Amino acid sequence: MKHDHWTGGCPDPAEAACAQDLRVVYRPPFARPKVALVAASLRLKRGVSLGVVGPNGAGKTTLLRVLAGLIRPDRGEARALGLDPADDRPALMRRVGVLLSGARHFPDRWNVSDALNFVAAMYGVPRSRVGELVEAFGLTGKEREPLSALSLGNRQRLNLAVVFVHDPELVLLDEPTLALDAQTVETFAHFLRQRLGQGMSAVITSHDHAALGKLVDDVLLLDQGVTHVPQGPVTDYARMVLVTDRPVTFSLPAEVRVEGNRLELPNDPRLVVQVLDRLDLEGLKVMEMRTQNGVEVIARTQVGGGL
Amino acid sequence: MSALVRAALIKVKADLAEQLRYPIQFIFGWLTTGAVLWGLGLAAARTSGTEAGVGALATYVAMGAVSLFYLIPRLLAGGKDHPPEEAMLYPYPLARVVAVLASVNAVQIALGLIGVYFLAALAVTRHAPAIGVALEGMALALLGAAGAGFLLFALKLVFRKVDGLAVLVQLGFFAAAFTPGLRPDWIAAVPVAGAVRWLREPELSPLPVFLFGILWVLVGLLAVARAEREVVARGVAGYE
Amino acid sequence: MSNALSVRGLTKSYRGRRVLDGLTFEVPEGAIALYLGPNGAGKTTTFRLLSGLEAPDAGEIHVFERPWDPRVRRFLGVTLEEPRFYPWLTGLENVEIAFRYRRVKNPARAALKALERVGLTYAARRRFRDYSLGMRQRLYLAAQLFPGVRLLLLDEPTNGLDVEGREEVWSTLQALTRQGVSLFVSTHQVLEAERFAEYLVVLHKGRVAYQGTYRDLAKRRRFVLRVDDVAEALAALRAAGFEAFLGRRPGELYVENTAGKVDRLLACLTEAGVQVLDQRFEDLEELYWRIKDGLERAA
Repeated sequence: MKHDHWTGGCPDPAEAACAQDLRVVYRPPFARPKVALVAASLRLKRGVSLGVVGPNGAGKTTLLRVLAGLIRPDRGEARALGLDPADDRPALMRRVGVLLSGARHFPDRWNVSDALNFVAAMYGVPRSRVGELVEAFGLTGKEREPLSALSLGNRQRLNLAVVFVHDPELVLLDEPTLALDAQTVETFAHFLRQRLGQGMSAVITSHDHAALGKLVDDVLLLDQGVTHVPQGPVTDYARMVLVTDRPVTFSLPAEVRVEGNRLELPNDPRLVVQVLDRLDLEGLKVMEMRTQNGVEVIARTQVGGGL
Repeated sequence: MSALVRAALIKVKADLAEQLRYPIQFIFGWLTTGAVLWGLGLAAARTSGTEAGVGALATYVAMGAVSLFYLIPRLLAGGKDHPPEEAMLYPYPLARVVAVLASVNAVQIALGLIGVYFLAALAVTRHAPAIGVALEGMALALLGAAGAGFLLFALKLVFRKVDGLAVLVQLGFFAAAFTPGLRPDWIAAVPVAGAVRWLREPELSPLPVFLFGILWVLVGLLAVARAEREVVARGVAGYE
Repeated sequence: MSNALSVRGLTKSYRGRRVLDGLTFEVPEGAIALYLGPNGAGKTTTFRLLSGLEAPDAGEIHVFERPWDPRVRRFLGVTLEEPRFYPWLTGLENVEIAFRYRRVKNPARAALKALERVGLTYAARRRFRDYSLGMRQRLYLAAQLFPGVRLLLLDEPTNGLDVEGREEVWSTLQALTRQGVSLFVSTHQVLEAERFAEYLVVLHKGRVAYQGTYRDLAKRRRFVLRVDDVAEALAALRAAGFEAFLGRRPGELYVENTAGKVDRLLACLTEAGVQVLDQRFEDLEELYWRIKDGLERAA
């Protein structure tokens, strides 16, 4: 994992989003200040979806808030769609869709239509768009349902639909897949991919690494307020873990990490088969064979442990 | 701007939809409110020595204004005890959003209460009251109350738990408006009380009350704008 | 190898909706068995029936080879909802109270032992409100580690936890199986199942879609290839005698596991002029989809 950050600030207005060495401190009145980001950097090109992973309290939501202009950094530079988020928030909000902590709140007695129409009216978007979104997010037939009566899954679909009402160029999603079943995640992934193909960009945080793997091309690790950039795309980090009946004492290709009777290697069938053949040759039995997806591997990297 | 107004109207319609689903209860509720307010007004008139009709009207006006004051900090809260971060995710400065939503609600309150006042007056006194005066009084009271409401919204945005303060202010408004003998020269500057005083002495010019009302609104909106900047600097809009 | 749990024909309906439809499965002793299924599939309902909170409409439950009866609770621990721990009391005190409820002898000593087993001795005298989420989950576990417990039913024990929290809980669970406790853990996170399951019971629409060892399921893994020309690749592979299928995602295809022939497979594609962008073994999530799709088509 690369520990160096980018340098040089955020001069490129064509980038979808940029952050350089952000230091962010929360200062609630009558309470002690809390440092949320220490040195966070980010680069996002148009049409790319970036995942942000890391332990709780690492600052993932804060990073999104900075890009949304909800908090001004103490130090460092942030740009979204070429604008300074804290200075130009209203103008930025016209082009950015935001979902924080997985939810959008509306009065419980409103129904699905009310919520979507309200948001559409706020953005000056024609009613027809609402119909498209209802369909795209599987809410057909539920337009008259009061929000209080919606299942968690449907409520989350509505939360997502609301983000896309005004056709944003950039979406910032914090835990978008809460309460969604795997099928809905796949459908959303498909929807996202279409928009990404049209030039939209996305920054997504999630604990659900399986779901995140379907939604993003690149991953940024955020740990204790500092960002770390993996060396390659997420797919490079997919792993296969083999557990043998006896410890491995012979040498194997360099990409294979051996710890006694546990082997970790890239999930590359050719390499895996090569290793399996070798183990077979040496008379070792393979007791377990487990895969790990790239996002999970990156998320579990301890700083300094490296990959 | 028009988009914002349209959104505000949708909000009003959505908020009312639940009540309109039970029209009988809705109408009954308003009638009861009307009757109670009239009764309160008569009692107030007795104690302060003003004419009964004016007393009743004063109560309606005060009620409307205090309702608006109560409503404004809750405009975007959705039931929580502080305005959510999402209020700042719309493509408008917060002050504009709050101003438009408050205006639409103010019109709702004015029309609703004055309508009920009209019907109640007809029922009790058997002749139509002077609507012009009623609307003017209501408008004056609403201005001041709105301004105070904006101020409270701003405080809530930054400091969160200001409900105790809100209750005190509401009580203060009623006290200032209805305490007999409390009539200092600067009463025109006090929201609600200033308007009520003008209702009782309509020969006085409404201008001072009006100007102070506008001042309150401006101060309130400036406070909201300032609170917005403060919240971004501190990062506390969503901080729990 | 005896079964910690054996369920036959378990059926339960709520308000006319059939949640569990003739559920039949076994959970072996001394292992980590994962109960896998999407939210709302009926996992919590199953646990409620197994713990005796509700009665099934039909079916039989056997615990450690004996028919279910209320005495089962003497060695059955369940975490369903968050227990009402007192924030101002220490972790140790809270577990002690839980044990007193169960009429455990020497509750104080048993509580300390339970905390040891979940690795929370260092925080025994810390107040519950100061516990992190991961620590809280482990304390819920500790409250179920009364003397004599042999089987634990855990409903989503890592819900809401971040990576570190999950690691803490899972290493505790693994330690417990090594001590001989059988675990039946429900989750909707396939990634967790991938890492930790020894045994799997997959729930789909109120029925068991798969049950067996993780290893057996994992043997069915196919290769997943992402290529630039799917149609060409499929044709080439099939012509060469490989069992290849269209994948779920655009540009992907699956090839039945033909372990010794990976080189030949890749060579075949190169010859056909197809570029392989990514290649890997199927993960558990994809296997899971296959099971569900298979069931759906059969239905």
